[in-house]
Amino acid sequence: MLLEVRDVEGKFLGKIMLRPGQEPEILELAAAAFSHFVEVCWQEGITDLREIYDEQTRSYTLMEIEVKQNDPLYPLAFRDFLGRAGFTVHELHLELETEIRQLLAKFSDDNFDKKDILSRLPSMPYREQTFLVRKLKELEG
Amino acid sequence: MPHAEGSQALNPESTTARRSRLLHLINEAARGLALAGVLATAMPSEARGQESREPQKLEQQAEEQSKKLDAVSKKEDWLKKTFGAFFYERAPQLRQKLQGALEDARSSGKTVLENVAESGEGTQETPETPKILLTDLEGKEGVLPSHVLRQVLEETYPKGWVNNEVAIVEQKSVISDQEEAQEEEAARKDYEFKGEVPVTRAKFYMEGGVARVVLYPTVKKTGVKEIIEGDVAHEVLGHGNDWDSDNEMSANDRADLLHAVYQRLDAPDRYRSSYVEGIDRDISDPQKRDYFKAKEYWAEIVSQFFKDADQLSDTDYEIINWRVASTDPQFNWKAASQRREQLVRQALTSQKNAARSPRR
Repeated sequence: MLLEVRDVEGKFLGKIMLRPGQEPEILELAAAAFSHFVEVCWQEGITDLREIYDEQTRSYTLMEIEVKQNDPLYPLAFRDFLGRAGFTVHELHLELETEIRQLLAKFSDDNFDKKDILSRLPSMPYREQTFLVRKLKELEG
Repeated sequence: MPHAEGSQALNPESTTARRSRLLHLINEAARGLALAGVLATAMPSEARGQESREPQKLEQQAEEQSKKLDAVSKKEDWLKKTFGAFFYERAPQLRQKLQGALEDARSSGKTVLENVAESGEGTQETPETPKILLTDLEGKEGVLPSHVLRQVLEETYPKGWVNNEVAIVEQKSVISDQEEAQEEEAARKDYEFKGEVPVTRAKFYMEGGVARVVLYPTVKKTGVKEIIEGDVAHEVLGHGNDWDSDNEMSANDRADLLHAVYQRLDAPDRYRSSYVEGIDRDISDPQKRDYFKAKEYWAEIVSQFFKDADQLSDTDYEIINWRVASTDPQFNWKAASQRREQLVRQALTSQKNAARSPRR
C-alpha cells in the first residue's frame, strides 16, 4: 500500500510503502521529523480500532487494540493510525492509474480528453478514478 | 450499393467520433466531481419515485401498489435470507417499519409509499427537533467548549443527521477499573483478541429511539478534530443514521440502504479499513459477520465522507449522497469540512491565547 502523507497545513511530508511484516519504506521524504515518527511507530507499535456489540445492553463499544507488525491488516491499520495522529493521508491507487491508461489506450494520442485525463491522473482523487474506470468500462462494453 | 439507414454507426470513422464524444462527456462529468461537493443523487429507490408521481387511473394505481407490495416483500425475504434470525434480533426498527409498511398498505388499499409518507417518515427535520446534549471535548491540543462542539455538529453535518438522532454526546473524564474490566469482558465474548488488552474509546447506546454516545478518557491523546471526524462521526453520524437507528428513514429506504451497503462488502473498489476487514476473522457466524460488517462499513464510509469524500469510490459516495440529499439537499461536504476545521482551530487557538495572556 502506497501512502502520500501531508501535515495539517497540507505540506507534503513523504510517501511511504507499507507491506505486512516489513518496515515501512519511505520513498520520497520531505521532512525528517516524519521519518522519525514512522520509525517510532514501527518500533513501539501502533493500535487499531474494533467495535464490539454487547447483546445484553444492545450497545456498541469502540475499542483500541494493538496490531502486530506481521498482521496482514498492518498496512491498513498504519494508514488509519496516521490519520488519527493528525496527518492527512491519501492512499495512492496505482493499479487504477494503470487500468485507466489501459482503457484509454484505444483512443488516439492527440485526443484532447485523453491527454487531459492522463495529465490529471497522478493527482486524481480515488472517487474520480473509480468513476472513470466504471464509465470507461461501460463505454467498452 | 445503397446504404441502409443507420449503417453510419458501422463506419469506423463515425464510431471513433462517437467514442470521442462519449469520452468528452465522461471527462466533463469526472471534472465535475472534483469541482462540486454536492451532486444530484443517482441512487435508485422506489421511495424517491413519489417526487414525480402524476395522477393515475385506479387500475394503474392498483397495479403499482401490487408491484410495490411485491418489492417490499422481496426486500423482506432477502433480509431474512441474508441475515436470518440475526436480522430479526438486531434490527428491530428496520424489521418493524418494513412489516408495518406492508401491513398498512395491505389493509388500507394505499401504496406502501403513501403510508410511509403519511406517517411522516422520510421528511426533513422538524422545527421541534430536540437538541443534542453535549459536554466539552478534550483532545491532545486542549478542550473544545461544548458550545463550539454544538456549532460543529449542527453547522458542518447535514440537517437531520445529528439532532433527533443522537440525544447525548458526553466525554467521561475518568473510567473506573471495574468499568474497564466489564468492557473488556464483553469484548472478549464476541471477539478473539489473542492476548491483546483492548482499551475502550467510545460507546454507542440506543435509548428510547435516540442514541447516546460516550467518549472515554483514552480519546484525549487524539486531536480534537480527529476525535470529531473519527470517533464522533463514526458513532453519531454513522451508527446514528443507519437503517436501524435513523429516525426519519422510510421503511423502503432502510431496506434499500442495507442492501446497497451489503453489496459493497466484497466489491473490489470498496473502502478498505482494517476495522471492517478485521471482522472477517473475528466473527465466524456468516450471518452475524455480514450484518456487523454492513453496520461498520456504513459507519466507516460515513465518517470518511464527511472528512474527505474524494477518498471514497464513486459508488460509496453515491450511497451516502443519496441519504444526505434526503434530509439536506444543499449540503456540501467540502465546504462543511473546511468550516469544521476553521471552527475547531479558532476555538483551540483562542483558548491557547487566553492561557498565555497574563492575569490582571
